[in-house]
Amino acid sequence: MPSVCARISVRDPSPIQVFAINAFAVSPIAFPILDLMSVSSTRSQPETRFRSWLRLHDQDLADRAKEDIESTDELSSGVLKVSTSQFRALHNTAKMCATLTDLRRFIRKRGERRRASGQSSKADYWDTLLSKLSSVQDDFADPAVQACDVPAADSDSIRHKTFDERTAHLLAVRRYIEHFATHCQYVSQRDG
Amino acid sequence: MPNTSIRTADDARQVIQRRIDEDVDGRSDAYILYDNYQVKPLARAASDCFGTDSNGRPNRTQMRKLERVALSASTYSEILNYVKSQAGRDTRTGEEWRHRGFAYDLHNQLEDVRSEAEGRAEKILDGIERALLKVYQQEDESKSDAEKRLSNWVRHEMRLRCVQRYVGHLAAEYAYFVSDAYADTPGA
Repeated sequence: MPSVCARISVRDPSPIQVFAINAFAVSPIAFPILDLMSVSSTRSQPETRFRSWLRLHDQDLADRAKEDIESTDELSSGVLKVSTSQFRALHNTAKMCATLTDLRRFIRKRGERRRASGQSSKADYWDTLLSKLSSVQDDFADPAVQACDVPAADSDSIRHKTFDERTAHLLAVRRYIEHFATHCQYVSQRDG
Repeated sequence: MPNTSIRTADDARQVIQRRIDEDVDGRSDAYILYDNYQVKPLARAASDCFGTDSNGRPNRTQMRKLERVALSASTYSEILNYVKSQAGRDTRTGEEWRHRGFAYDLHNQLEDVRSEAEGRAEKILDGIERALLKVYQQEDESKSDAEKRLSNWVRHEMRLRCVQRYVGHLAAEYAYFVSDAYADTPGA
């Protein structure tokens, strides 16, 4: 296989090399091998493109998380009231949740419970975080999905079955939460 | 005379990467040489924070961990998040990091190094020739998209590399400061 790859990547192939590549391409063994190569090649996969995008835009997500905490009243005051263990719980839950719906449910329940027990500022903190997730999806995840050609969630493409729009959104939101929870933890000790 | 060896996007990437490396190498010594980067005061503050272990030897674990995190990080925020999460812990380790505001000073210093690195990234981007950008540009990509992609990449590389170097210097300075070699230095 490496020798085949090396021959195909030759920039200016000689006529003999062209003949060899063409002969290989029409041979019965070519189709399964070339198909395997295209599937295993990560270079053009949407998931690879998206993960690369996420790495290059990680700082933007970190800046957004910091800005959200410091410029939103519900968050900047709530961060001093919510206990540190909750930030760790948020961070760990975001890592473990398989879908964005699960993560949203976790945060929504936190808010509902605090409101039911009369802790309105803590409830506001969780509700505001929930609304921030939607704006992260709109401002970061959606453009990234488009830029990286990530297939839609209802796509029936077998090749992209494991990575679609929903997964991309989850990864972006998860990264945001990581920055958000860490900054909350830091601020609560610094200003608390 | 145009450089004919730059024919593919990978070639262009290598040329730009070399410019980033040269800039980071050139700047690295400044972190040690100039006082405004606070490497020495922060290293001394770290030795105050982390103290000694039960055998009376310097407790190097935290600084070693910081250096390891920095060297293996793929983004700048991984390094900063590590400092933040250590400072945000409500345990003895957290108290050590917050002792006399060490974690906050380190956080602010890393942010300063980052913003300076981003400023220099802009200069590198300004110096990229039109021909080089054209090679870097992908076939199905507009010029503005290619510029944006290039800008994100250069800024990311500069942030990460500069802060990695800075933390490397800080960890080395700390190791020297807590070592016997420093105690034997005249005037120490």
